[in-house]
Amino acid sequence: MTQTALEQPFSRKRRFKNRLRNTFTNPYNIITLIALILLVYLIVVPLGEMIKTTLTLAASDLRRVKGGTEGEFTLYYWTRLLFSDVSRNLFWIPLKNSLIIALTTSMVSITIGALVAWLMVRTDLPGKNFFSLAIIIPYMLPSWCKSMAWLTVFRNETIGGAAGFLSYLGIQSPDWLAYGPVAIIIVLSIHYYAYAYLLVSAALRSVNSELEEMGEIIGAGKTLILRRITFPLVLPAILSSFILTFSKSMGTFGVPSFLGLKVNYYTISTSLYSTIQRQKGTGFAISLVLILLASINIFINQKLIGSRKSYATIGGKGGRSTLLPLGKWKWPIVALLILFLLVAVVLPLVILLYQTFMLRAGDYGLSNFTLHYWIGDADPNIADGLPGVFKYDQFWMYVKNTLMLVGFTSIIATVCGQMLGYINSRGRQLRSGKLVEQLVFIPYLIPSIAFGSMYLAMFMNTRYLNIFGLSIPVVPSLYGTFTILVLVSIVKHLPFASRAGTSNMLQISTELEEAGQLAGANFVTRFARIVFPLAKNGFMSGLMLILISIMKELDLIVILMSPSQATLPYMAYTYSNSGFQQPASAVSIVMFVMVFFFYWIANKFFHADIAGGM
Amino acid sequence: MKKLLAILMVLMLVLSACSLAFAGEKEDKWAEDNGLNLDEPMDELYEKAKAEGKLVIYTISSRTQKVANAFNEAYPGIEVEVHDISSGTLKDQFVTEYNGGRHNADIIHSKEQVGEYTFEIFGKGMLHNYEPASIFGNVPESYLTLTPLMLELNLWFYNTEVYDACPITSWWDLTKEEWRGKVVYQDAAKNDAYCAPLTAMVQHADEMAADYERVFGEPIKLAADEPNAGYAFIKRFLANNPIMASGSDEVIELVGAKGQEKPPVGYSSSVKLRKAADGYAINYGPEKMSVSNGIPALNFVGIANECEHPNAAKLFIKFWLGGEDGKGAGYAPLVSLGSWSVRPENPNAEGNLDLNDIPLWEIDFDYIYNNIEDVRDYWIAHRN
Repeated sequence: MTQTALEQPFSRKRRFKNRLRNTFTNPYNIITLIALILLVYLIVVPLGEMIKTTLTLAASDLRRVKGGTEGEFTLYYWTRLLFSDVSRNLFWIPLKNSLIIALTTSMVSITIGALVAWLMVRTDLPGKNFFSLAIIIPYMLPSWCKSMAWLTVFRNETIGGAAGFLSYLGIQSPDWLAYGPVAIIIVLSIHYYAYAYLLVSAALRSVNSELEEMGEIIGAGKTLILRRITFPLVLPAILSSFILTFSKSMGTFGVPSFLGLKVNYYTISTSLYSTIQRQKGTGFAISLVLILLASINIFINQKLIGSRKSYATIGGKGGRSTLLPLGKWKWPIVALLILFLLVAVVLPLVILLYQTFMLRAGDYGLSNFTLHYWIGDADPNIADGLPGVFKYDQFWMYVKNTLMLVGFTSIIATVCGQMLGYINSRGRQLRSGKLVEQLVFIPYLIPSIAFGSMYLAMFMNTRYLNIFGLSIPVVPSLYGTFTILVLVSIVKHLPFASRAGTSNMLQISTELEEAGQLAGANFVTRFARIVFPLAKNGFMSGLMLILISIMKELDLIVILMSPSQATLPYMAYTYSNSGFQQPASAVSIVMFVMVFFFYWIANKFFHADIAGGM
Repeated sequence: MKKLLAILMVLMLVLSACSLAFAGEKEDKWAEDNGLNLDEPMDELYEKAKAEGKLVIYTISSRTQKVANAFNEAYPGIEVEVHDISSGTLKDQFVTEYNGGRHNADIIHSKEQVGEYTFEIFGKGMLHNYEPASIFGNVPESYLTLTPLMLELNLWFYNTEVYDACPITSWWDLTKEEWRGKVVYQDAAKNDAYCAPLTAMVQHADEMAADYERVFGEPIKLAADEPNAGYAFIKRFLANNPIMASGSDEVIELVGAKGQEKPPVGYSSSVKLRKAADGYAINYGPEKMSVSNGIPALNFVGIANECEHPNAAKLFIKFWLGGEDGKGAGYAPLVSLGSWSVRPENPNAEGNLDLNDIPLWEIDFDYIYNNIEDVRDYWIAHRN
């Protein structure tokens, strides 16, 4: 039996042609392709560029490498960093300091966070509504603001300069408390406990209290239940908080810079910052080590949690939850919590605010009260002629810069995040979807300060691609422009944006889209008329959380900043470094009020949960 | 992950094929063609400059705008654009633009202390000197490696509430027990202005050794890891727990805040003396400092190679330096406490010390440039 090709119902050629056409017109493929190209350009290439810089001899280092030529391959930077006379102070000691700080901070903040989470979720603690808001306020005040407040209180005679509050009262705080590791660990801990609190409380909420009640029925005491039932159930959440806190404290720059540099106490991030200004090659090498450490940390963690990533804690029988009575401990615990919040939340804010009203730093008396730093006109005899922030044109420029940065970044990042979420949710089982997911995850691994330096490596100079004698600019020089700040902030927040996008898109069943497809709607119409309206709420809450996070960002952009693009956090940092404590505090307060305002909007109108913003 | 690595490798290959475009080698000829070696009268330059119509300046000082305002009054018809850029980024920005073929800037004004501009920018012909005899005829030879505008110094400041005169008269005082933890410096690993004087000390190690003997009454005994008295100072200075400030302003704050019982001394830019009016109890007393207060930071100007307005640039530089008699309005904004002109004809700020009374080492960019990185490494290796 022979059939002609025309009659053949399944012609190979036709099938191939159809497939080809489908491949190129399928919106999923197009978006994926664009996403892949962009991600490679914005994540993989900068990383490669950074690696390349550490292996290429720069013109200014020709004097160090005798007989070298500019641009040749060299191991000089790596040797200098790891095996030279300066390695100990440039690398090994800062590394040791960073590890100590990261480990201790993680332990302290997770202990505090987990305990508070347990109190809030599992017990009959009174005033939960109040506490649930108060406890996350530290997250809104950047950690470096807290270190400014710390210095205001503990600054002692050793360093010189204006007196700290204790010193003013005649109490000399010891050196080990005023500066260095202890100060850094305390300040970071009262910042990062929020992570553990949010993650562990989410985990606790999903635990059915019947599991604990079972323990009670067979006669176990409260501590035994806590130890043998509750704790193992939230262990994955605790481990996740550990990675998060550990890698955040490894990469943090502001706090150790305020509290460590003056006494020659370096961490890996401050060593990176001071090295990179002089010698990019060595600086980038430190960045790479930092990235490596973060990756190892996450790798170990994945192995540890591995199979026990989650327990099936939600049974078919209602998620009833009975609160544990605190009994006679109730009020002492409340008192302790309030005391803790006073120290961690209220005190730093009050100190910063109070400082803005002091004409001369260090004099805490009422006679020194002034509104100059808020509404004063320029006076050449006060703070180098700096007018009050509200009278200062530049201040409004910085506010504008900040708002523009957060506006552009959060909108673009969220839109990209939804797109990536679409790819992830629709292409989970496909290889391309997985690749996109992995690429997007990379910025998460890279500590902020290292990420900033990566973009510095990439966009410092215009780069040309030489093809047949034609040089085509492929990478523009963006150093010192606003664009690079927007770009780096977007890419750094993509992991979160795409995770938010994915969970958002997963909720939208493909049936709805397919229905639209059957009715003849094309991809754009489908996205605009079906997917987007359904995703709107998740979109807005993701946007607000990114916005808040970028608004207080310092570590990520500090290396890339140029004066005309300065944002509020950078301005506060610069003022503080120039010895203008009061303007620095005033700027921080304004920033905090803005962050709080946006959080209020996010929470009130879009039901955003700050826990998602990590 | 393997896939990522593969992508990475391919990209590295692609990138290594990229190359930076460098300008041709006609820089000297361009300078000659545009008369940078001539000494044209200012009127003649004005006519040529009017034809160019514009001038772009990259500067590290906010005072340059005042100079430009005065220039506009004296020479109307030339639009002057002043970009105030921090000294840390100015060099990068200029080089980036230059290498990208964008000749935006005509005049570059920055600070040279360690020879980076001399060897990496002027040496490659990216910037040109402009030193007509009618302006620079009386300037000492040692300041003429780059077209000099003025000098700034770093000097030791003290707290005037506690001390009547500068309590230190030698760098070696800073290694004494009484100054342990009471000296404010900046991290020389990061800040060239603080690494340069240390490098000069290594260069002038003999003088440092002699001064040691004068201060302690016995010759210096060098340890095995102290190659000479200059290095010995660095090591012993660091062992005495100096405080590392993050900027000149902070040095002044730590030293000069009022109400301190035992304030530190601190090394900071001489122009910061103006902060005395800002409620800080500060002064410096560099005349008795031995062996030297350090080396000056040279504020220089340069004309960018292949710039679009070379004649306006020449006119502006002549004007900036006070014109032919040195008394013109162009130099007036620069007259201030703590900065010194290299031109004897220029006015000095009232109350400003005579530059000749301040012991300084001569600028030797060649030595500094080629040795500063070794000194920096020694510093890093010996900090705590």
